Amino acid sequence: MIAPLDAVLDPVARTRGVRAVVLAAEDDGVPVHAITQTDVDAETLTALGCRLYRSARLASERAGFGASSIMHVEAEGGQIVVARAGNRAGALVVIVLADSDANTGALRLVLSRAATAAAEAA
Amino acid sequence: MTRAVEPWLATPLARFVRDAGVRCALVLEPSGRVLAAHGFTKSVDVMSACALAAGIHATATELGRMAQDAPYGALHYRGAASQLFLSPLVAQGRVLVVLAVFDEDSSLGHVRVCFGDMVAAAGSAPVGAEASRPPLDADFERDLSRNLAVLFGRA
Repeated sequence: MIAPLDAVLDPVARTRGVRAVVLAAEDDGVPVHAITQTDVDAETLTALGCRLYRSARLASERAGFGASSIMHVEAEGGQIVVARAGNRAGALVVIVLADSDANTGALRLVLSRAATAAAEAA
Repeated sequence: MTRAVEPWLATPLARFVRDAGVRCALVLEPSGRVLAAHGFTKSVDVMSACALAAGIHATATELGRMAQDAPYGALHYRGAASQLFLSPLVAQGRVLVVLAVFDEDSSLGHVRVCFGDMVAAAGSAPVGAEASRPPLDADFERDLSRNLAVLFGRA
């Protein structure tokens, strides 16, 4: 299963400014597959990314907006973007850690494609 | 509320509980003697949970030795409404056991990351004279009763 998952995540990992991309189960917060730079702790990124996304999804659902498909956090030193793969709550998510100057539009585009591919591969 | 028989465990356990969002947690010796607890209101629950956790830990340790010549590490059980995380904690030259129960407000990944922080904090915590002598079998029951009394304010 590693090769297909590499194919899903590789286009995101090759995007300029991306330091890590992880496919994870939202419920567990544990990496299923990850491509990261050596200084990135994939387990911590996954655990915190899933927790952030879960909170955002629950807030969106309880506000009556439906499930959130993508969550984007911009900070001084970088960005975290999480996209849901598939429609089932608690399913797979793709988490990206990127530099602050990474192109946000390009990031969201490749991430959406990766999330779609991950849902199809699951 | 976090209570500890050995004060050096109180802060690492309290932080772990807060950061990981676990419902209840215990730190015990592999013998089943309780050292710290959070989220328990009855001493009998602590005593039962410690005995069961010690049993699971002993089983996993021996199975690991049989299968791979080394004890297994952390264990995780997923239930319908809650999940259980059980792991050895090596700190201050001792092997302890941590049991944590969490629900959908947390996740296995998050608990694992926060447990890593707890291991680091426990490893560098200042240990006073209370940190413990190895338990003697003859003292086990007395020590267990004393520790439960300390945790539940009857000492």
